[in-house]
Amino acid sequence: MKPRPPLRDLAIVAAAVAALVMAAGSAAESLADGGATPSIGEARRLTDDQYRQTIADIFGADIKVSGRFEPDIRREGLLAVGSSAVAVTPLGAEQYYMMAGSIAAQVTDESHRRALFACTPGTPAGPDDRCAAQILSASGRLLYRRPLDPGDLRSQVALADAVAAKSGSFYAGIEASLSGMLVSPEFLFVIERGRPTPGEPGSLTLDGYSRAAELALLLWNSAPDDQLLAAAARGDLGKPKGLAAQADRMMASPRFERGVRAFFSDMLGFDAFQGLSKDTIIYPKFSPEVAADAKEQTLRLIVDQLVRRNQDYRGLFTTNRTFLNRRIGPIYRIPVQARGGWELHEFAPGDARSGLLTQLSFLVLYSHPGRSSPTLRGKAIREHLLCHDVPAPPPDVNFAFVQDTSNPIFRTARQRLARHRSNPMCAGCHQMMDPLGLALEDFDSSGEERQDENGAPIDVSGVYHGAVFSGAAGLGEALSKDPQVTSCLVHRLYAYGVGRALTAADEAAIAPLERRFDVDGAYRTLVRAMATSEAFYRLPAPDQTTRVALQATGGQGEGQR
Amino acid sequence: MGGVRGAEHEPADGSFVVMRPRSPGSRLLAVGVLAALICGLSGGAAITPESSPRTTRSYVVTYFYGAISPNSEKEDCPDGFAKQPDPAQYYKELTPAQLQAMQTGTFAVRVKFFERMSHRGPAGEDTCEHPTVDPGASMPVGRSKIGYGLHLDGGNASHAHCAHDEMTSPDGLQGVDNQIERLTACIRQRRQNGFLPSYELNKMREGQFTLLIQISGADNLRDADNVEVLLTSSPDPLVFSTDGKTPLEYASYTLGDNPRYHNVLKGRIRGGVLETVPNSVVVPSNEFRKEESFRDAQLRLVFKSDGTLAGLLGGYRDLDEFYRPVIWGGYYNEQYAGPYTCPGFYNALHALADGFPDPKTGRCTAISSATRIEAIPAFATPSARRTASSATNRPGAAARS
Repeated sequence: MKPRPPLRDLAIVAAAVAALVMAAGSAAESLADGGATPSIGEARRLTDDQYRQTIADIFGADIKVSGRFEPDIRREGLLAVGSSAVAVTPLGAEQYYMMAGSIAAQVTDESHRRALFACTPGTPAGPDDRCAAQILSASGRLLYRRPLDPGDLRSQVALADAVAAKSGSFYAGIEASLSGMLVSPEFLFVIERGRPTPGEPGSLTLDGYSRAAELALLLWNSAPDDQLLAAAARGDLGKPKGLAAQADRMMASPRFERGVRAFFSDMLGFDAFQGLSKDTIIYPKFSPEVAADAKEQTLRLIVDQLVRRNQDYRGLFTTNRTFLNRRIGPIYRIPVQARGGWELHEFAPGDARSGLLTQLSFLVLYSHPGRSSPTLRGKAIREHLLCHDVPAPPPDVNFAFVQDTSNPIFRTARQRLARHRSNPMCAGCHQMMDPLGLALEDFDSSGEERQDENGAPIDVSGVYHGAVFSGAAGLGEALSKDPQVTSCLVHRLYAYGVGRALTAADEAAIAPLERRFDVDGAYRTLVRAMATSEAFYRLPAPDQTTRVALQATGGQGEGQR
Repeated sequence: MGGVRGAEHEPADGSFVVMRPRSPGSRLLAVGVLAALICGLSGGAAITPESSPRTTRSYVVTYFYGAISPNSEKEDCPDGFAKQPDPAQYYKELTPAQLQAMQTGTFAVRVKFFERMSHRGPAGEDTCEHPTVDPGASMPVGRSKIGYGLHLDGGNASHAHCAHDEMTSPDGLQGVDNQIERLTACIRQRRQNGFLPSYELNKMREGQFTLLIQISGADNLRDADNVEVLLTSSPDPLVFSTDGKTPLEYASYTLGDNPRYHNVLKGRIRGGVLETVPNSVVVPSNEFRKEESFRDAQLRLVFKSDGTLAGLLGGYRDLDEFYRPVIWGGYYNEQYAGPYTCPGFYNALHALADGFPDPKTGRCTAISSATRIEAIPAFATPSARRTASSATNRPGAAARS
């Protein structure tokens, strides 16, 4: 058994947790203070996925991250925006600490240390300043997304030395310091740091390392790698050519698909899969494994359409392509040859399934556990795909009639919702949602196709912007022609990238992107244009108080640390 | 997809395309037509989907076990049930110390003694392995005239047969040949509520073997000539719904590559019932039986209104093959899958044998049987190896390969 560092736990942890809670709290307060108007110094808490990806990218995919993350908050339709409005509770900090301890122990164990660390100590039984500094500066740079301040590094080495001396183990010291870094706000929060924009008095733009962090989150959903940090150190990310070179490099990496998946998971509300369940008496084919596959299926389709084949985003609404495995094949009633993986399937012309709306993910996620829901599906289309705001229902609405699927007279959801809409208090919102969702009624809550509901035929016709359509294919076709669909995507991606609600200045920057995207719907082109745009790294007009505070702590340019 | 029976597809160019009427505009009409069809059918047996002669319907077998007597114990066994050997016979060769060890020893020790318990022959022979050492042993067999099965020795039979009593099936089919049902009717653990049927079925459900049925050449499931049935194996285990018990419809299964289990049967459909002409059938089985072979085998399967298949596989079982698991089971089978004695079982088996007489001795070498089959719609997909072979690159190849 490796000796455990006896000292670090209580003293360091108490201090780290307290600092974390305080820092997170003040980061959240800085936003809450300004209400809906973002300010410089946004601190975006890493999401569950970003934390895991970062650890995997820095230390290797075999490092296990086990623990419970605090829930994220959805703002402006995105968790990415909500990530700058969340703090860390004491309970959450404790979880972070436990994860940090586990990760640091794995990183420093014998099977990993040789591959991860560039030096070996003079003796493993005690302190070694030089080697500790080498290890901790390299790891710290990747974890903090910037080089450690000389003072930070001295503190970390001093801690490592103290623990190593006390425990008689060099690696116990490294473990203690790494553990501390992993609960530092500098790691858990992506903190934006601005500097004056050259030639634009009063305007602030992100410094090189903040740009690197923003790029890495947008394109990889992870932390910057060594090359990106090096580019930031050279000041390349402040120059169009250097920025473009890094964006192109990152988009050519396999990690780019991961970034695309992360964005669409956020945009489509896939975090809701975590609590998704169905009544398995009614839907025996549905299982947690099917739910996971449903999510994966849609993300595969999106990557196939937008990344690998570089096709028009709008084609996602009409494509006859999908991917199947044997677990979800029975729900589609389609043969799947691949015994242990996924395979491409193309629906025949005229098939009821067409595009994103008939993917299992959309159908199962926006349904009730025991019945489909035209309202939830319509609401999801409005909110996630069209960026419309749908108000919450009034608190005193009685849904009993809509929920009564055994009503012998009102046998279909269309009939029951028509009756529900006769209540003027409900009609306004339902008029927005129901007609869209009713087009998908030939798919039940488990995503399986059906021909009738309680023995009554299902009417899947509807009207969208004055044009009559029928079924999911018709609705998908109508949506693909609606400019609001492309506009929504551009706005969501931009807000996802900057990690905050959009401002009027952002709208001005978005307008040309939107026009261009409306021409060909090329997602890769859009992402690249965004990532290489100076405006993307411009900070919104800052709140004076916050600006002063941040300039005092971190408004330094690259190469100065 | 209400009203679809079997997992239909047209194998073409090595790929599978699901046959599904799709025009949303015609959906209401389709529902109406379907309802009319269902209402117009007599007995709710079968319904007619849109399909073409090239359509192949695939099913996975969810029940495959010898048809069990439908009769009461009194009707089948007026002479009582088969019995295991007198315990005294088991213990006669054991010393008091061995008896003590057998009662109190570890499981491994007790097994050693159990294994000796079938060594009851005059010279200590294993009476399960050498049942002829006791030619006088007997056991009661079923006496009822009612039983499940098919008329195997009718006009299509390729063999002569030995004298036997034919039965009538509960649904009125005359001339039923199923001597296996008589053989097992008076063995308690082989009856409906006995231990063995569910035990052996579980072996299939655990994935020890999987059987697929593909039916092609039928443009409807009510009446069709020149129907071809492929009964074959799959390397994939049965897929169950979330309750872990109910086999899932429309799951995909890979067609097995073993040509030995590639059984092609010709037949026709009349009144929603598929019947095939006699042919040989070999299918894989569980760890005890390994495989089961049937001579002059016939299928009689009903297309049910819920899209499933149910019926029988009738055929003659080779006596030695049928007895082999009894040897393997030895004393355990006599006690736990019985009770019976191996020599009694063996002698009854041979006495009831009714098919394929030995030209020299005139004694029958096979016994008529009926295996109950239930199957649900599934997809049968070619294995990667088959897809890669040129033989499958033609229409219909996947269904026939």
